[in-house]
Amino acid sequence: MNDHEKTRRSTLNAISTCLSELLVSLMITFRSMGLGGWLVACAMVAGQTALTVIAMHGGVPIEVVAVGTFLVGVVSAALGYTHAPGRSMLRPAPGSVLVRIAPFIMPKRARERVLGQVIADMRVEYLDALQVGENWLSRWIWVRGHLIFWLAVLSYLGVSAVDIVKKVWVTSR
Amino acid sequence: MTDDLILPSGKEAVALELLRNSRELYGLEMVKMSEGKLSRAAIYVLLDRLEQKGFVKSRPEKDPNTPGMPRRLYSITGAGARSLSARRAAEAVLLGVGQIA
Repeated sequence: MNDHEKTRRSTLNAISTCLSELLVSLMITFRSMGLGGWLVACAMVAGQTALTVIAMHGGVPIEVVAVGTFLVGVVSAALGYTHAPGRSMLRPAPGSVLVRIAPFIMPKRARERVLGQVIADMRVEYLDALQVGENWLSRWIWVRGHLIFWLAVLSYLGVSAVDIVKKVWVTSR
Repeated sequence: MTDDLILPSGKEAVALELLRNSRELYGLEMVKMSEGKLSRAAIYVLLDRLEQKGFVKSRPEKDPNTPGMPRRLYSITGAGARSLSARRAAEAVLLGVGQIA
């Protein structure tokens, strides 16, 4: 096997593994992964390992292994999603992770006046969507809320940076 | 006195206009009422700046039926209303000059 082939094999394998792990990450992120999901994820890791061993010793084309590992990831994600009964009925409020992150990235005033309000709005809209049974809308609000949170952080940092530059400019004149 | 001479920017003027027409508003209500002129990501940064300039004041809502993080209600101050009027007057003058030219 020449160098080019080795590089191609490792690249394909890395891509398929990344995609599979991305799916599992999404499952964890959307909290759809109960006990059944975790078991399936473990099976997926075992499946990927087995496929890699087959590829190394069995002479199976790497494309087959690459597609196989990705499919194992897809099936794991699907099974984990449908095996939801294992999960707890109690879930943290949307944005609770952001609430824990905020003290590390923003001063108190910004947390109360900017980030806290973004999270509070997300919670209000999320609960409104759940009340009318719009589960997918509530998930979209969750995703959008997280994006808005980080955009608000960037916006706040941008405005603060401009203010600092203005102050330095005025004092240096 | 010099503070009164600070004119609000375009987006600040939109927010102040909304607050002038209502008694108190949440940030999210302002985004929805602005019809796309104000974004969810920027509204609270904007309101924070307006509050620091003294154009807007806010208070946390005291609703026992709403658990979790307190949302803030925003209202316009006298200085905010004056600065908005000054901006509108300046715009009117500039438009008048444009029409004459």
